[in-house]
Amino acid sequence: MRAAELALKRKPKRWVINLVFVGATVAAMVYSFAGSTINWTRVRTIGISLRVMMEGFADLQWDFFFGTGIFRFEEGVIYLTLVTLAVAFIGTFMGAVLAIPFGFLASHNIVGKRVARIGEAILVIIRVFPEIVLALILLKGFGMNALTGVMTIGIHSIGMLGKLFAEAIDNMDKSPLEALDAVGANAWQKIRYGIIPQVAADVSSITLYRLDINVRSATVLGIIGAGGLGASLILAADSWSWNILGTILLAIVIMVLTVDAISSYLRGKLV
Amino acid sequence: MIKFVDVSKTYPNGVKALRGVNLEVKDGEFVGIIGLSGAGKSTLLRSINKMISITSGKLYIDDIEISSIRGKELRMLRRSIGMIFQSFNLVKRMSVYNNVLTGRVAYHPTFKTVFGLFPKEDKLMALESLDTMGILEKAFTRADQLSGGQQQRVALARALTQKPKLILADEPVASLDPITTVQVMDDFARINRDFGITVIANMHHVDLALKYATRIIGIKDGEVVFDGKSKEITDEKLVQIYGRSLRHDEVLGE
Repeated sequence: MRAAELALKRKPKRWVINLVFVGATVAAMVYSFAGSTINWTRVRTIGISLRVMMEGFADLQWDFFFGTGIFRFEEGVIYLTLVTLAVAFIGTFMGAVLAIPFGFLASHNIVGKRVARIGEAILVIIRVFPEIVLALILLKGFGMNALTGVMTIGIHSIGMLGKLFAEAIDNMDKSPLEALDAVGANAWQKIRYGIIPQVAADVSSITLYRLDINVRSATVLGIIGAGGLGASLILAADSWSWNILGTILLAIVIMVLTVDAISSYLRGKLV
Repeated sequence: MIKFVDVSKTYPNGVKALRGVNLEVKDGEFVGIIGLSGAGKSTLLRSINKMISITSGKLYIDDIEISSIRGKELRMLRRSIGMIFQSFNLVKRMSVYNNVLTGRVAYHPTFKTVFGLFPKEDKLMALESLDTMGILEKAFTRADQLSGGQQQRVALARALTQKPKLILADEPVASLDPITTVQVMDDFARINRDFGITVIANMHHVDLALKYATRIIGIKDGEVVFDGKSKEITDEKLVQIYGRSLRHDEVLGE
């Protein structure tokens, strides 16, 4: 009893620190609101804006969607969606393939702590570039086309995939490698029979998840000219063409939900 | 034949695991190594296939001095020595058959094995080993579907597929229940008898060692303190090895 009472007195008093954090957060919020230039006219007429928007969305442009009528197929949403999907798919594939050597390079188990730190550093450097920034730079080299999208997604994906692959390698059971050493296997044989069978499922699952993310990225990257849906999206928004915008949004929603469903299903099948 | 001449091993942290060990193991023997944890049993065993390199002395396997061999030569040595581990060391996500087939990788060039191209005779060897171990019907199931005893038999099949002249077993039954333990030890005895493969096993169950091994090596603080027939082991000798007499329950290996 005495000991418990003494322990209670020793209990760290956190309320001062908590108060400081809450206060600082509130102060930051007030400051941000005061400093921002809110267009109050827009806020007051938000109802009208929403109505116009909804009217546009109700008037979807099916010729534009399918690329029929006055539209060529290459101008249609279906075609642009396929381009966006292709950018995401090829980019993810490229990123995953390139991430494998980086995964090994950043794995403490395989290359040891020192080399792994170098590998990790490279991956961090790849990751720090926000995708948009990377795309803006690559745009100068590859031009306003899907290749820029593929390269951006490919390079950016290496950063995260490499790190997750390295984790998969580090988390696996190391004992089969010992057994392979004992049967006289060399390094390649150890990778083929000790590492790949253990990490293949995880690596596929991680890659599918990344594909999911990259489909969204590919759409956004299109806005700055890296191919696919994005370019039409920004044009429609700039010209207040809600019906065009709505048509594109419909395609985005279908695409994202479909890829999400397929990727979840496949990932469930793995492991 | 294996021959230790004044073999010592000092780990980088200063621990002296082996001190001047002299031993000779003839072909076809079943040797049980006993001693306390940390006495050097594992180091002694693992120095034979160079999973651990000795720091001084000489170690001969069939008159080849192994302390200086490296690279391909070392892999050639290891492929002729089977090894069994306490935790089986199988790839759990791979089929039993593929696990056993890895016993052949060191017999073929890298590019062939990387593409999984094994000759038909190797595939048959793998399946025959499984048959010998009585688990042929499990060949195409994933290793993690098997019980501990079955997994250790898969590991034994992998070792047999190497066509070894020697099998090293590092606490082969330490993670098995008493009934499975007896079955797996019987398997070792059968392999030793039927194929004439030398077996050297570390065991912390003294009674098991005495029952199955024909020769006992007792290790204490890195030194061989007993080396003789199982029948020659007395309570006094056990006191020498373990530093105190064993209680009844300890000897039973329960």
